[in-house]
Amino acid sequence: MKNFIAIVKSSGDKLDKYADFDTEADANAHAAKHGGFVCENPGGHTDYWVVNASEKTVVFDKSASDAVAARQVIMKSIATLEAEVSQRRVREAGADDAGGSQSGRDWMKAQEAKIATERGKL
Amino acid sequence: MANTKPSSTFLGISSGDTWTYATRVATTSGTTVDFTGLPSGARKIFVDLNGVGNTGDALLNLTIGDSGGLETSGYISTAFGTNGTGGVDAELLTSGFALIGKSGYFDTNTLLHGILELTLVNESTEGWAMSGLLGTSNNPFNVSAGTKTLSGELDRLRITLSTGAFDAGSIGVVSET
Repeated sequence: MKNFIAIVKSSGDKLDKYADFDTEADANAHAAKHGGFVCENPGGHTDYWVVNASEKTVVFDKSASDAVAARQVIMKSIATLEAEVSQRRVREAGADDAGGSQSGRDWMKAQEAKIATERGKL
Repeated sequence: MANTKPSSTFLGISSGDTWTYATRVATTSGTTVDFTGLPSGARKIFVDLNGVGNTGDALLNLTIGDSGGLETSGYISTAFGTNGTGGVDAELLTSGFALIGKSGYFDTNTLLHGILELTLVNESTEGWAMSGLLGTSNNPFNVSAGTKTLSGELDRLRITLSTGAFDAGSIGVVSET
């Protein structure tokens, strides 16, 4: 990660255009040529940078980033659980005279509970 | 390094076009890969990913820019992915070109292989279109497409992981002028 950024353009608190540099002098030279302002790199993904052009600051909204990451973990868990409900599992959860069994229905019920738990975290 | 390829008319590539290969970058650490100083007058730019891996579930995006810097807004972009076993998901993005349909489709077990193609579709407005095909070492597959109008001539691009770090492979860029 480069230590200094030149924020060339922003809209409201959203980043539109930037360049990053190892040295503050290079960042200043870039801003002098292309406009904007220079500040220290806040780290994190630029999607979560909050720009304040009047204050000439940029902060990384870690809580927003963490929330998205946490949601992605939950969504992956749900997808994994859903994928385990195979056609065979569906048949085994059916009526006894349609190829199902009590153990199959129990598995499906437990699986649904796991999915509900994950969905409840969203 | 630049060289001239034999005659071809495939995809609008004609005899005499010059292909400039940027130095490949190993994707074995960090979260971003930069290519700067891309040649002036480029009409097509190909980005190839060769076994690119990462340390966790991540999305991947491509941003482009001009001499003023990388632009992080104004993209119209979608990536569509499948896990290869029935799951399908899409990722919309306006801050860059989305390349992965869902973070789980680029997990720690996945190595990305494929190509992204940028085409200058409107020379007067610096309008670019991107299409991407990224297969993997396991099941997932990702297709992406989008457009972006730059404020100046494209001279740089960056590939960014949403989280974690690169841990395998390399990325190369070739520009056609």
